[in-house]
Amino acid sequence: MRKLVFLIGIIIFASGCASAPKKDYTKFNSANLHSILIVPVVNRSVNVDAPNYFLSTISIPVAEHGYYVFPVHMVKRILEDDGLSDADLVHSSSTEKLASLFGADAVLYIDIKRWDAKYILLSTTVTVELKYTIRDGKTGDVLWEDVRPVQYSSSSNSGGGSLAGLLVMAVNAAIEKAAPNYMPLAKQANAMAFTFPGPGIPPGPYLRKEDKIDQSQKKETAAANK
Amino acid sequence: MKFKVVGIIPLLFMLGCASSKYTWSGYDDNLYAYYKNPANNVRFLEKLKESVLKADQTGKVPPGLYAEYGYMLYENRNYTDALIYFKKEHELWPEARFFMAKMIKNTEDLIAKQQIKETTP
Repeated sequence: MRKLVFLIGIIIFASGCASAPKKDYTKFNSANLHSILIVPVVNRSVNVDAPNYFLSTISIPVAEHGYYVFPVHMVKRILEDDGLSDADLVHSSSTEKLASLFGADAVLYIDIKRWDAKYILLSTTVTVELKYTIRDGKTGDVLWEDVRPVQYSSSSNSGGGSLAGLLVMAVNAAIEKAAPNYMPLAKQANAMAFTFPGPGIPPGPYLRKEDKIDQSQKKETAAANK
Repeated sequence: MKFKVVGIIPLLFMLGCASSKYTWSGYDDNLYAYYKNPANNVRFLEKLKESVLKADQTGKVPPGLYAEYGYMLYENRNYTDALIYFKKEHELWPEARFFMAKMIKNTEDLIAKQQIKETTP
């Protein structure tokens, strides 16, 4: 039994690696990023709430990846005060200028391509599709990008074909359609997009030296450098 | 179908390394709740305070958390406390120094203005 599980694990792992095309990290690595500025999200979906809701999910995966992440809400408010209240405007302004405003090494742009729920045949399918782009704060060059579509369907085969089962499916689908839960999908998309090795970005400085320096030591050196 | 298969693999992969580097204590959910109900900024401020206290206890303070809290204090015109947290962010993260130095200067100016207002009859 153990052997079987192990084998399946290897097969899954192998197929996971095979399906992802290799990305070129030369530019990314030579940029030696320490900090990433996440700017407000551009919305191509029809859901007006999507950009803000999504913004709440993105700091954690990037920071846990070992980069300094600027406080997203504060950044959004500061940009608004600077006359950049529209995310499209932020995305179309120069990366170098944005980065220099905050002293960031790079800027992470996110486009929401899809954020919708569709009801088809006793089942509701919720889709979230995101495009992530990291640009160099000094040159504006694209250092990394990824597109992540994730989908969830309310039909969980619980029915088994019986009338009662069909009813359960219909009710589930209606609930999902009335209040589709996008957040787990958004979080899943982030987790997948940043997985490394995989489609994601190489670990940042705080993940690389994690075991060597803890925060208290960092504080001391920071105080000493003053 | 393609979506589902692609979705499961990284999730399985991630289960092995799910431990957190920082103490976030619901920062994402709290920000989401705030965006869902922007009128309730006091609640977000309180939640941020809780997150800051918990992170201080563990010593695993997430990047940006002090500044985020500081900025909510700043928006609520509590400049004195805002200044404390901008300075904490400044001290803990070298990457934040440029930005925080600007905010610290800005906040100090506002405090000075407040004091002038209070002392002049």
